[in-house]
Amino acid sequence: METLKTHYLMIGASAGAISAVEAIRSIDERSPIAAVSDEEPAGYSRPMLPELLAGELDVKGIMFRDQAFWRRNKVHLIYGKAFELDVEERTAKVSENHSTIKIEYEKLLIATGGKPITPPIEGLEDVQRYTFTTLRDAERLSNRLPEVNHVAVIGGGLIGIGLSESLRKLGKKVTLIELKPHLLPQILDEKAAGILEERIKRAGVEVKTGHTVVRVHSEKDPGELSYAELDDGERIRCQQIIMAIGVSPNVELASKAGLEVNRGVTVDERMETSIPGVYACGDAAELYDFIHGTRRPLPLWPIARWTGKTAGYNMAGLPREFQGATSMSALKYFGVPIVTVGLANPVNQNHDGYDVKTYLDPTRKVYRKIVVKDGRIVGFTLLGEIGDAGVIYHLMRSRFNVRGLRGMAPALNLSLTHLPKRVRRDLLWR
Amino acid sequence: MGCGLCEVYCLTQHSRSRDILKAYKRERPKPLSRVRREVAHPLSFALQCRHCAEAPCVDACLTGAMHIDEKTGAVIHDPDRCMGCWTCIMVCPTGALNMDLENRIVAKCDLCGLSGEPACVANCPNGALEYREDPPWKP
Repeated sequence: METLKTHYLMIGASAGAISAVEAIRSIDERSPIAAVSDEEPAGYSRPMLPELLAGELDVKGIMFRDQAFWRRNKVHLIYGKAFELDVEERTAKVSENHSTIKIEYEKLLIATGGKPITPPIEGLEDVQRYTFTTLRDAERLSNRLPEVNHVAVIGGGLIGIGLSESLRKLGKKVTLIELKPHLLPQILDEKAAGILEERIKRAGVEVKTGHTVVRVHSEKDPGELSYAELDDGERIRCQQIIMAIGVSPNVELASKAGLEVNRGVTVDERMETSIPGVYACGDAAELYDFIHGTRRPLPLWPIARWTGKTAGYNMAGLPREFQGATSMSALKYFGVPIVTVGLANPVNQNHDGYDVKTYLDPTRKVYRKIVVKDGRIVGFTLLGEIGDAGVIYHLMRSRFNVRGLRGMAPALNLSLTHLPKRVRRDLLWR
Repeated sequence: MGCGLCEVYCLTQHSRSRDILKAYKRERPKPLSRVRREVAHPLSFALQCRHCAEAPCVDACLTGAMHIDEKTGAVIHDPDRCMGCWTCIMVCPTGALNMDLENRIVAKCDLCGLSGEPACVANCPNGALEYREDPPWKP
């Protein structure tokens, strides 16, 4: 077995690992870095996959970092799969083509990302099944789609909606199915989701909310889908079903190695796991949500970048603490700009002391909502007019007391002019 | 005093013709000003990207369009790589980024290509804007 010695080892080579490499190289130019990627090419932008599928960009066009990035940063990039970790011995075993490499490391980053969630659906094993979270998925789908006219997309979240838009651009008939009563149930309220849904329907997508697919059926050729059956018995005649329910942390390797794993790999503020010298970040990790006050997976690209950067600095010996994140999404799908952050749709909003202010302009299709608790912003949704999202996010992040702040009515665009002079100056001279 | 000349000169600077009248009246797609007048009398100031050393927009960008120029440290946006996802707008604490709705991308201050004083500074009649560099940028 071939043996490779490195100082830093990254398992994974997407947002988290890229950010870690950049952080490490900003303070340590010399020590060897190796990265293992089970996707080729490494370094593409996952959120751009809808653009690729729609044919608007090619693979080169969706590269987050080009191939020169790895060379420039002196990263030994290995296309293969890490299948075993020994955190005592500090080694990883990687299969590359048909051989196995043993890698000895000093510092390890688990940046294994997420894996798509597939729900139990009767008959699903017998038909061609697709997910949409990797470049490989997108390429497989691209090859499949010419044979297909009608597609059922399972999951009305970010992935499902982005995918539906691309499928419409390709002229496919699309049925979007969401289990909860409205689209994007985790990040939008009924009203915001309603405005978006109206636009999605106008673009020709059939939307079925409050339903789930219980069974898929193949009538003719084996493996060829004939229809998907909903829980109310309705049959949707389609030739392809795509799972877009979301991702769960890919923790298999970490679990097997004996790392502490809860819903994701457990990390502290420095992104270090239960084993010293071993770090985790991004979709694979369980992160601190500063609004919910709990730890949970936050599988979002910017958060993978922030946590990867934090991990990188700490791996290279510069102590840095991750201040926590929360659910945060900017959307552009079907031409509706939306920013939604934190607890934008609290469950018991009339109890539990939430102060919820909303503003709706139905003609301009503008909807804005700010949720305050104990004087602090804990969540907000901006739809249609989103230009001040960052200012509101900053107030939320910095736990600024907004009691008595002029301009806190959601009807108004919040600008720096509304903030106290001290805060404004700090921001402008940052 | 909130005269707005910074916006006029910024827009012109970022037009194809570099001619005020043509830029305002004729050019399509419409050129956009990247500086914005913030007015709440008696307060008024020009807001443009602060070119943060540790820029939240750069870390949050989904495509790599937003980046730090290695030579100058300026926060630069590559329109060809932008897909208009608005993630940078979500995290910019000053609200200095603009939406170019016609092209569905972000438009921001590029310090006028770093060729001397930016247009907003050079044309401020009141000397309210000045261009100053922080301590030398180190990548």
